[in-house]
Amino acid sequence: MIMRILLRSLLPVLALASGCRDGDAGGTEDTGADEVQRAQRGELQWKRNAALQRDLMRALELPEDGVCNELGRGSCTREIHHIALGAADPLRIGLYEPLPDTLVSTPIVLDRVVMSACVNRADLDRGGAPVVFTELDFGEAAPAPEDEAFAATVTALYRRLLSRDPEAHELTTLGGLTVDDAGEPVSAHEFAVLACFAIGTSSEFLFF
Amino acid sequence: MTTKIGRRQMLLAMAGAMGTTALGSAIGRAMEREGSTADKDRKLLFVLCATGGASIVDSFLPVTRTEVDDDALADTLNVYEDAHIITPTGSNIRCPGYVEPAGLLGNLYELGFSLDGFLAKHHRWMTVLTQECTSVNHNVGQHRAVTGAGINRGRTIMEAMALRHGEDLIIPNCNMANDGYIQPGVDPSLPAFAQAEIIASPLGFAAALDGVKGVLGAPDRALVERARGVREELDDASMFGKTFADSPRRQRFLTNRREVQPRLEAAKMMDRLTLLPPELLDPKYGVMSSPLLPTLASKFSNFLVDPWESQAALSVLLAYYGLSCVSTIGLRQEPTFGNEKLITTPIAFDFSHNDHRMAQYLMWGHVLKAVDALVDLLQQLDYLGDPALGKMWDRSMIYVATDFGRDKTRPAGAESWGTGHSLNNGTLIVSPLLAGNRVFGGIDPTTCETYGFDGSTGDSDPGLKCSEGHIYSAIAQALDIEFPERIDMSALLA
Repeated sequence: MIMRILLRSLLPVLALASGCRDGDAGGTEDTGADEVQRAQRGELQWKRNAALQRDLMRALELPEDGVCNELGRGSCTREIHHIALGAADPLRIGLYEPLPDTLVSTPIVLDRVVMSACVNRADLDRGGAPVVFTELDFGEAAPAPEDEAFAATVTALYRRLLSRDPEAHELTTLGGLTVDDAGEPVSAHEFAVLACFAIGTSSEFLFF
Repeated sequence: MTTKIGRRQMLLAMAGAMGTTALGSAIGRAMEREGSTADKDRKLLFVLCATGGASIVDSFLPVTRTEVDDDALADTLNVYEDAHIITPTGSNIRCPGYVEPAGLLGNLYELGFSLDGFLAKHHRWMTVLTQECTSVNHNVGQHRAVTGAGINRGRTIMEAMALRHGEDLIIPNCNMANDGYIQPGVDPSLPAFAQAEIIASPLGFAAALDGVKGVLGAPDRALVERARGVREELDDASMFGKTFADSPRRQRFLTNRREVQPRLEAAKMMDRLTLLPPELLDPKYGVMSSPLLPTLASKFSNFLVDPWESQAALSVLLAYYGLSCVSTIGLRQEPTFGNEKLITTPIAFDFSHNDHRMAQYLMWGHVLKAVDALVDLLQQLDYLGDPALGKMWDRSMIYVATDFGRDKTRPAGAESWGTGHSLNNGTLIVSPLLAGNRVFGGIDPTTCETYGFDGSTGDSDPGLKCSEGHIYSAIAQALDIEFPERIDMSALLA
């Protein structure tokens, strides 16, 4: 009952606010259906260490110890780089709340974690029944961008890591990973790792 | 170079916009210094956090029984027998001699480093300042020990140091300590580059300086760079990237990824800062130990198991290789094992609640062992490895920060007792930048309470109390850090 009264009382305000936004030349403009509206406040949440680990485990179907082990000495996400990946550490260093923002080392550590997870997945798929890179022939070179295997692989990675399909321009851009700087085809294994790394270290994967 | 100019311009604009002059004038002065370079003039600060309450009365400002001049009163105070106090030749400072392990847990400890040995070796660099802090809560006291109780707009001395000397460095402010010592200051205008990089694992930190090296099975670096280029394109062109193009959190992340990460990887800092010895590095990872590891290991013999030593070792590397100008290290709460016995107490200096004298002597020894090693290494190493820049020590300061003091009383005649927290205390700074072999302020033998001094003349005055702000100001003045509220501490300068 109270909630209903509250909502009813807020309706005029919401309508007014909505109208103001549409008519505000300094805010988001109606630039057409294909244009993206820029978030005015831009508030993003940082996917912290445990969530990052779980997302990689889920997306790449890896066991907990299959994501990243730093030089064989401990979990990247839980033990060695947990602070840079946004964890709290109340027991060891008295950090009772995680840091609000990323550190200088955060993007570097993210590179290491995702690279390790991608390599581990590609290695598993190459050595047994493939789970993620099902369309790749690991004994061959990377598929050409126009091949079905290329689109299928990239689409699988987008769905697994970003929960959406790739846009056409994204498929085109990722086509650059099928060859090296000299234009020579890379191996299917290298393509799998590089595509996984490029998508998995994107800001879209780290923030939400 | 672009980053350097950008930061300076930003700082000057910010100082002007806020109507503050100290920061602007300090930077202006730095820019005007003719023929100087940032490297040449940079100072280095090492903040060693003596967690739990390091009592100056049990280190370098002790009171003897005869000074009390009343046996009954002396029995109730934390005083030492006269024969137990040592004043090394040439030293104007004194300290307690060896404290025999005693009490309920006495047999558990291994005393490895003597205070008088340290004093005999380093007294010429030692400055003892009396102070009275403003909180006996651990976290609050710790934070105020590094913010001067908010005297400089709430900036920690480490943030102020990074702002003054670290604008050209990649990670100027590294903090490996704990609790209140790792809490940031409260100045929202502080530029991001001056904020602390928190390091919880000194032995593993080097890996955070390269995104690929040592990752088994990673493709060739040229291919990784290609993938990074593709990622940058994707990030900017995606609907997510466009929608959140203005997100400060995302921008900060991308700035570090695009500007700082390439600098770190190009400088090959991972191999330089790796503290793991070759026997602990599987060759399959292709990672090398720091070239300075043998030098460090000769001074920090227990660094693989003692976080205090590994933090101190990393702080030397961070400064030597020009990554940082200020490093903060802290005693951990858990005890550390030596060969057979404990070499630190549980909860560090705060174990004084259970056994004051034993905890103070053991923990002071542990702190000073690291200070001794730091001084030796800084005196040995040329800054940035360049003899033209002189020894690191010539530009260094070691500030032994602590939470607060300890109670000055004991049960009558007790040989082993526990103490609570006390506001009254003092601070040790070891540096060639301050007047060394000096005690500023004094102590009343009838209470064991310290009293203050005039920072402009250096004169002790039983009517004065010096606060956290005085300590902060003394450090700042010696390190060329200006701010409007700074207290004149000229008498302390070398």
